Amino acid sequence: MSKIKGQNFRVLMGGAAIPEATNCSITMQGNAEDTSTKDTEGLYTQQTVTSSSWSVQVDTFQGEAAQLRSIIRTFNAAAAIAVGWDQTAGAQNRVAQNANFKRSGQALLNDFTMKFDDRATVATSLQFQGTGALS
Amino acid sequence: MIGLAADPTTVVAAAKTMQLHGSAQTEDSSTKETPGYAQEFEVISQSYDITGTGLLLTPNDAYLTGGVGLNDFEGWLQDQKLYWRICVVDGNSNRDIVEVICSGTGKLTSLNPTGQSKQNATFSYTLSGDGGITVPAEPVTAGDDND
Repeated sequence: MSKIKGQNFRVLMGGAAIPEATNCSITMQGNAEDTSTKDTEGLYTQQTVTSSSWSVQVDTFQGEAAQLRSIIRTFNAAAAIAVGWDQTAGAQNRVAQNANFKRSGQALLNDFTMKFDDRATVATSLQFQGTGALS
Repeated sequence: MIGLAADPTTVVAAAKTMQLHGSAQTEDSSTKETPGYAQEFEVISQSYDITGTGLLLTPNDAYLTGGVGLNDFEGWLQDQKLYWRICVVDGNSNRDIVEVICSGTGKLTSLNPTGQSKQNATFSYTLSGDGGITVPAEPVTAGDDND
């Protein structure tokens, strides 16, 4: 069984890979409800998944003025955009592979952080809240 | 790269670090008509803050890099409208604005000078945004005044 390397795990926004990404984290969650009743035997609760949600978090070194403006414009728009992820290969991880691994959906940019220190890099962190189902 | 000032034309470099953090509050807008299990969300409000740190260069008069003294910061805590800009800067001491990235107004909501033995005195601050973040039409360079 082949392992997926972290560097081959790519997050896409608007159909394009988020540039200069370092770390990413994807959370898929089933929101469960305790459906235990008086008829339930024993001490354990019984859980039923009533809804599901997903979110994506990406850290990058995007430091160009145009990139930073684009992030803020996306945030200001408060509208869902296409967000997804896939597995890549090749030079600079530009080649998508393994279609089974690819997922995408609509998401809101609901949190961003831009860190400016007194050195060269600008570190950004983007958090997307998925809205609707993944496909 | 950050400019904080009480008027929109002056940019004062903060001494050390700065962070812009925007956050949107979302609400689950799923209804009984929503198909499947997946929740649907919408943004119901947005906010941002700016936090920064710097060095107190001369603790007696608390004169900060860029010429803004601690007294100015204290004054800004009194509900004063504060303009901010994030700029690409260059030149001598990074004071020349090359390009404006974004701007806005806010209120200084915390100021925290600290002094530790055998270390430089430092300060940190928090600015809470009033309204939105303005992103100028690009490219905006020094001299343009539409931010």
